Amino acid sequence: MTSENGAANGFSNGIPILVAEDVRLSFGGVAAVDGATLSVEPAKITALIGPNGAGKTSFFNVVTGFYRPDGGDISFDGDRITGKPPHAIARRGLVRTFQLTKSLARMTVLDNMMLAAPNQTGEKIFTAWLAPWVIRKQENANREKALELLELFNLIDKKDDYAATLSGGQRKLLELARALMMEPRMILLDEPMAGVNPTLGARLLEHVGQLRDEGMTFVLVEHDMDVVMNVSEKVIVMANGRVITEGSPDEVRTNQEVIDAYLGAGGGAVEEAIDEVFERDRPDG
Amino acid sequence: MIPYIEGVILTAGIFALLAQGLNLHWGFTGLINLGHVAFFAVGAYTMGILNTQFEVPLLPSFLAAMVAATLMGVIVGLPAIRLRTDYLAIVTITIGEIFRLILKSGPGVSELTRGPRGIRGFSNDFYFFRMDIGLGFLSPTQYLLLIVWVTVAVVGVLLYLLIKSPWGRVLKGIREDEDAVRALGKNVTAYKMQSFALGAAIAGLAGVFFAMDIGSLAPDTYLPIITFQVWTIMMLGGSASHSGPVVGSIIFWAIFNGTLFIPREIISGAEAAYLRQIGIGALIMAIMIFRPQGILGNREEMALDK
Repeated sequence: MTSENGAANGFSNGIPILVAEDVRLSFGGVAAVDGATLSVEPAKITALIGPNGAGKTSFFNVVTGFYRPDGGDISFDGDRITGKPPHAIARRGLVRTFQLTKSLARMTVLDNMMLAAPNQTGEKIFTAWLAPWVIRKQENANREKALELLELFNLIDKKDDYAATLSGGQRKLLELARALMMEPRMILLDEPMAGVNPTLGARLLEHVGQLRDEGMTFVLVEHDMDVVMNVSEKVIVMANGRVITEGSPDEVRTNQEVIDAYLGAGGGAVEEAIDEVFERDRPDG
Repeated sequence: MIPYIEGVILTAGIFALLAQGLNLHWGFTGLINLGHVAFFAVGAYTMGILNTQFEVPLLPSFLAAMVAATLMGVIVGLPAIRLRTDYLAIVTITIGEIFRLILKSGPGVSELTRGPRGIRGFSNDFYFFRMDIGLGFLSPTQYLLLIVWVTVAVVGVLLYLLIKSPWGRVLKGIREDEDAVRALGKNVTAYKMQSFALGAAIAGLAGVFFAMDIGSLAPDTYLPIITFQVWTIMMLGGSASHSGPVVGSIIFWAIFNGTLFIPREIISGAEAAYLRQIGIGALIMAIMIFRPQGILGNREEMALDK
């Protein structure tokens, strides 16, 4: 949607935009992320799946700087970002959303958007007092951009409402729209479909697809296999803090290791359960 | 009677300043600060020590008081980098008390502060100064009252501009959810420190005026009760409201001193002293029950869940 995103298209010649090597993170004796290695290609939608406790969200938290890894290396667009603080990583264009949406409840929808705009002169304490004319100009430009995005995400009627009054689905939309205010090059979506009604969910995925077409890179953690198989070009499967396999949705669907990871050791009920997770939700079946 | 009322309005102005600083911490940034009295004390003592023992002139000692309070704000702000909610409350209340005890008997410090004996003799220059600027027709109290309330107005306008600016928007964001604000590329730690430092500087200035008002400095003036009074004022007026601290302070001190106007035939002086505490307590309860957002707070905002 912006020229920056168009530029990201230039990377789509196989050079990964995000590379994580042997990333480790433990809480006390529990290894949440236990040597995860993966790479993400630009301008694609990559799904990160795995059973509960596989370390997906922990991995997100390490990549975005919310947790400091115990080991390993992460680079974004060729620069090492391991252990950098969250705000520094976000400013580089690697932006995340949260599993439990973090809309800023007692701020209006428009203020939520305006807050996310990068490089604001008025965010420095002295220029906030001393340079009102510069700020006014920036604010007008940011407001215009925010309103455009709210229009696109069908939140324009809500712009002056407190974010707390939005429904769960609308909050997810707001979070994505707010992330876009930052002009990111890559967005990590942590369970974007959780608690979202199907109509809003479909709209959200539509936006994600469109943005991908314009050059944005997405990684999404998602439990809804229907969504995963439908929208993603690549699926990475994590279990016990490690990447166990990756490939196209079709390759992953039939991979025995994946099935084992989701269901544990084999048994009579396994086949049935597999049906439930993969087969029945198969979009073409 | 008139000088007495002037004195009350003066105190209300000093506490309005304190509440303006606290409102920046709590109302706009969501930082629980129960050690506000430390900033008040550090401002007062910095001015007093510089003026009496190092013969620093008035205005530079005022500025130094604000700088010292700012530094104190950064020190108190350090735990706020990691701590939130009740944990931060515990740490800040402790810092406030530690600071008072250091003023009282800290090795090396009590020589400067003269410990419990306190400091006096710093206010003469300040009051004589009114002759030089043609305000000699005012009584000392009226003169200080004027300066304090002009300061309240100036601070109020500056804070209003700041909170309306993108800087203020970041603070409100931190109040709502600091991790979300981090994820939006803002250096949350830096903003928390700035909020702490600026609110502390305002409280430091209030401390200078307070010292001028009572004309002496003693460590045990700076008890935690002052912090709680400021919190009451802020909640009464309405946190995150710009005029709340001012209105809250006037009402608080009116009630606090109002009991003195009850004729002695009805209640004795000692009883009146208890009655004021009861009055304030009842007021806090009434506010919490009937108007939890405070007199000027935003009811809609208050009713929203995170």
